[in-house]
Amino acid sequence: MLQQKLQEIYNQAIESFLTSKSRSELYEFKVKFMGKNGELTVLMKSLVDVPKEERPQFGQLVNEKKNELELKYAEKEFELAKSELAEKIKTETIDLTMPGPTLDSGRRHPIDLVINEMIDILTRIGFSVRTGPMIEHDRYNFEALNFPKDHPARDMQDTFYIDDEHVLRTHTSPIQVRTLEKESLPLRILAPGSVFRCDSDITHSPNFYQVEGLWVDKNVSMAHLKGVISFFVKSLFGDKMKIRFRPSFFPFTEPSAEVDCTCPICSGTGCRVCKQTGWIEIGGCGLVNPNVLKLSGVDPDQWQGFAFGFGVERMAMIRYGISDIRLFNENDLRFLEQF
Amino acid sequence: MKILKSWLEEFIDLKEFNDNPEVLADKLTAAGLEVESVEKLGNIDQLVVGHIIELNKHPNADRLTVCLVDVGQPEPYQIVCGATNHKQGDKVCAALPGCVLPGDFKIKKSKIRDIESSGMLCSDKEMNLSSESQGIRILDQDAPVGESVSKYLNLSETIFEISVTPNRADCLSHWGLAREISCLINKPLKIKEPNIKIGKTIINNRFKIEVKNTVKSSDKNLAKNGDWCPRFMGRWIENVKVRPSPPWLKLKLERAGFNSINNIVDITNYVMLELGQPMHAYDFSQIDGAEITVKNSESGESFTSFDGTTYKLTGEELTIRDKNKVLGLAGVVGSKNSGISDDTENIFLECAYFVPSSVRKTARRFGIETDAAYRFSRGTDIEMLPRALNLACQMMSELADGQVSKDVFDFYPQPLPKPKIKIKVDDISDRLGFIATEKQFEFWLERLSCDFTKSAQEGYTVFPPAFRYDLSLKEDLIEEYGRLEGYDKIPEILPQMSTDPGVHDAVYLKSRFVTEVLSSQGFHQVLNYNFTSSRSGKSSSEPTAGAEAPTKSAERASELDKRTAGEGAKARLIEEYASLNPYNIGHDGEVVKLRNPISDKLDVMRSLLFPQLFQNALHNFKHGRSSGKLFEQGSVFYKKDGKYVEELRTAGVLWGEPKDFWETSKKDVSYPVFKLKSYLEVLLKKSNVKVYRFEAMDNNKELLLSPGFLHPGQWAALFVRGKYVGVIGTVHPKILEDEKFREPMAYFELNTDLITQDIQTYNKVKSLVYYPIVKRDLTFELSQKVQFKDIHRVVNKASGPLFQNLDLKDIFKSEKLGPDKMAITVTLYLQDSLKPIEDKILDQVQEKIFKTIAMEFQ
Repeated sequence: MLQQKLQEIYNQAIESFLTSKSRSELYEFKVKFMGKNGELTVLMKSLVDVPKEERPQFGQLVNEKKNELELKYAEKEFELAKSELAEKIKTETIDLTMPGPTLDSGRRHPIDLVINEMIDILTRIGFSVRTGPMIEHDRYNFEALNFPKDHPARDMQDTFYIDDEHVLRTHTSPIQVRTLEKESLPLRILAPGSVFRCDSDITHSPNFYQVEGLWVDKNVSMAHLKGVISFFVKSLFGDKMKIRFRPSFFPFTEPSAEVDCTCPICSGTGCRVCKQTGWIEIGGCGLVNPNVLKLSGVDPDQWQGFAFGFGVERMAMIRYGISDIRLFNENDLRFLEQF
Repeated sequence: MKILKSWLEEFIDLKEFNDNPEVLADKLTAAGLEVESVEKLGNIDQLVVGHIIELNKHPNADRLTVCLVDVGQPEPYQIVCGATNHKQGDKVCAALPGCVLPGDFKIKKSKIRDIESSGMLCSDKEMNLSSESQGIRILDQDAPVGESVSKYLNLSETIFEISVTPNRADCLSHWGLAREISCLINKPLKIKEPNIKIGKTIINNRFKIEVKNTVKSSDKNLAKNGDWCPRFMGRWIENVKVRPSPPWLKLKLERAGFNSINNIVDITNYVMLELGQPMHAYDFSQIDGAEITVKNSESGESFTSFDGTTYKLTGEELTIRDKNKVLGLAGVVGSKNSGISDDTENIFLECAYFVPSSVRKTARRFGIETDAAYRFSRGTDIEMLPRALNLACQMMSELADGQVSKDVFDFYPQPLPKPKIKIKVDDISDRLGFIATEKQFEFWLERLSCDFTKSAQEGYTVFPPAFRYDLSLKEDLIEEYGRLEGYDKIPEILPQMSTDPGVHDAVYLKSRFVTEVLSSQGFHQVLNYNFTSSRSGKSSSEPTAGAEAPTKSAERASELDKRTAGEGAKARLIEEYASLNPYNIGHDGEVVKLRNPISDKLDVMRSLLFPQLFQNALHNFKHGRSSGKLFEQGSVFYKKDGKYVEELRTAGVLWGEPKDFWETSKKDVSYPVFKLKSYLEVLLKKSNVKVYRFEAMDNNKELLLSPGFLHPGQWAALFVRGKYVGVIGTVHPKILEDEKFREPMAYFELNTDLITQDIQTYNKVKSLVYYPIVKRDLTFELSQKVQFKDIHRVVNKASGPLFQNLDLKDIFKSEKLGPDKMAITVTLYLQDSLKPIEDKILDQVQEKIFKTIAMEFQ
């Protein structure tokens, strides 16, 4: 009697499992037959009605059926899960060629990029950055750099004056003087920053950027200066770059030179940018004039130094093929987003 | 300066460069005398000497003539000419068909008013001989017909444009440059011996000259030097005939960039261009009392220069004067009346040496730029004076029929001290980085006209010539050796580096850090000028630039306040403004003005980044960007307690929202400023700022006075560790309206230094808590005036140590709740680091929160 009941329940359960359309439906049937109050569980509880000697045998039978059902259930569940997943994937398929939410790319200004590129190159050979004020005392901008008052060298730099004693720095060299006064030797520093000349036309901006370097040590020579600049230029524009020095004059260096490098646009074969010469001027340099060292309290018989300065705009124009300096100041996104 | 090759050739043989003057230019550039351009004025073909054999009026035009010109060919040419200064029989310059005149002007056979014309009769201007000309060039009668004009007039020339550095004033003349070339190419110099016809007059019989070196100067360096006129020479020249200069002189001067004035003035300019010595000729009839004195000016006296400008003298200028008045500022400029006029008969020719810095000081004081002042202030050659004076006198007698005085005035109490330089050849090798030899060094010293002595122990003692006053240090000679041997000889060697690591400056690290954080969040970096305009924007198209712009905005803001809240409120706001002064974001200094601005649009240092950043946003908005984010990392400037202060600022602007598929409609109008605030908080978190707060109300729950450019109801001040560091808010609607800016715009500006104090702090890691975080949504009905930060504070306090975070989930307003009420839903996160949180505890916390909220806010 009970055995028959067991077989009925079993058959119904199998039937229900096999016809289930979803995992939730399947689970409902599992609860119906095998849950806490499920039919099979109820049947198990009626085991007390079975004669004592038949109990073990019947119990075993119920367990067998139950295990079989568990197995069937698992099989069906696996099957349903598979097809449900396939269906879910099918319905959730999207077009990833659609654009996502618009985001700004956050470009850095080319001047800032090039300054940092220059700094990073020179940091590799031991330079570190120093900064200083833009409203600078005449002493730091000129006098300590061997530009005495009423010296014609002052005409080389059209200067903005704030008052009798203060100017807008015409170069970042005052940072070199300030560092020499403050820090111990030897030193290797970079002075990047904004500088000012009262001069404005298509090729000149009244407020532009420079990176200067200063290396003070014992037994420093022009050959060292050339080595450092060569390393710098090759790092920036490629190892085929060559440099050449041309004699020049700066009050704060002696000997002084202007630096040309192979035109990176045409690799030295001649083009419009280098005016067919194959060379472009990138900056000035020289050995620190002993007067400058003396004025900063450094003994020029013990220590020598070399210094160099590059215009950042020029580097950026070469690097990115920019032909109009006014673009640097317009801050037009059509320009800025290209970096 | 312009240097003529033919002029150089009067002193040195340059034939080897006839076909390739660029080689010479390269040699000069390589030696430090940068040749900026080489201009070749070549032969002009088909430009020949013509003879006008017949001249008739043009039948169809009153102003034209028809000339029959013999050009040495079988048939004469018929040429129509528009000039009026020619007549039959004149020798002229005829450009025949096929000729190409300067400026690529091609001559062709043509018809002018129906009359055939086979060429053109040329003026000096058309042949590029002069910048101005009146009529065509009439040649001397003996000019050979048919000969090339280029050959006849010596037209072919090579002009070098040379940029001379301030230390090489010795090369500011043809003689000086020839001397340098002689050193470079090792060829001898030719010296022209002066040939002066000397008259009988003795200067002292005519007038008195006196040099009084008693100049006082407030400049210590100049005062120490005392004598501003170490040498003064002069000569008296009688019965000169003032007239136009001969063509060769005019041509030479014009080609060197000087206008021809008259023979006397031209001679002084010629001598300056040839020998580098500026001179001055005084009309003797204008010299009162027949005396010339060189001494300092009287403070307060006035002086009118030759161009009519009047200057008030300070007593610190060296002047040339007669008995009653100033004749000239020494070395700078002559007076209006003492110059040469057409009636001048007798002249006094001045040839002097003035101390360079004294000339420069005077020239700079009055802003006078003359060729004389340019050369004197760079330094002239005191030993060149006699030669220059002689050359001038010779020319005066040859070209102006003048009779030169028998004697020469020469005040020269003592020669200038000559520097001596001690140097060893090893010094040269050490500094240049390649081996220098004694042999080469001596070779170059000789070529440089340096005297020297040599000793085994001391090395060399070098005495540079007077014209090389730039040579005073050992390093100067090292440079000479280097540039003459060629800088290409210097090898490239990387120096050895000491072990001292060197650390980047904090200011640099801070600005680089902020730049990296903001750009990685999608802000584009802008860089603006550090100066801006002091003018407040009068029209809406004017930039809202400069330090006064915020004040202007403040006016706008207070106008708005006046309309909405009345006069009383305005007065109160102004009072508060005085105490907080938010317009300058934390400084109350003066604006820094430029003394010599380049334009009134760039006349003050910026004291706020907002005006420029706003302009940047506006610029991009007008070019079709309806949304965007920009930032700037830059300095502002002000003066406080007599000191200039530069403060590094970080500013960001955000406007509009991308209008794309993903844009949700739920966003509140204030969304942009909250979005910007979130970006700002990312910056603060990345900067390790742990304690900060935004504040928009004072302790009495009254709104603080806003910075003029921000929306008074949508802004907050940011405090980091209790310090005020800047502001964030929506840009004032009036500013946007004025510029027709139709998108919402949010802005922040902060003191970079105060938010980046801890960027280099290394955080010590805390151990992780593994018990779950419990989340609960709570809804309170509160007055709309209650600020979120206060709810946060109360919930935090009531939650005790379990508190992790509080998020805003929703704000609901409706009429049912009441006009000033809101239902605010927040999500509370709690966690216990030691055990899971039991429901019982959670309920207790929740109960406590509701109780405290009720107590605090209801």
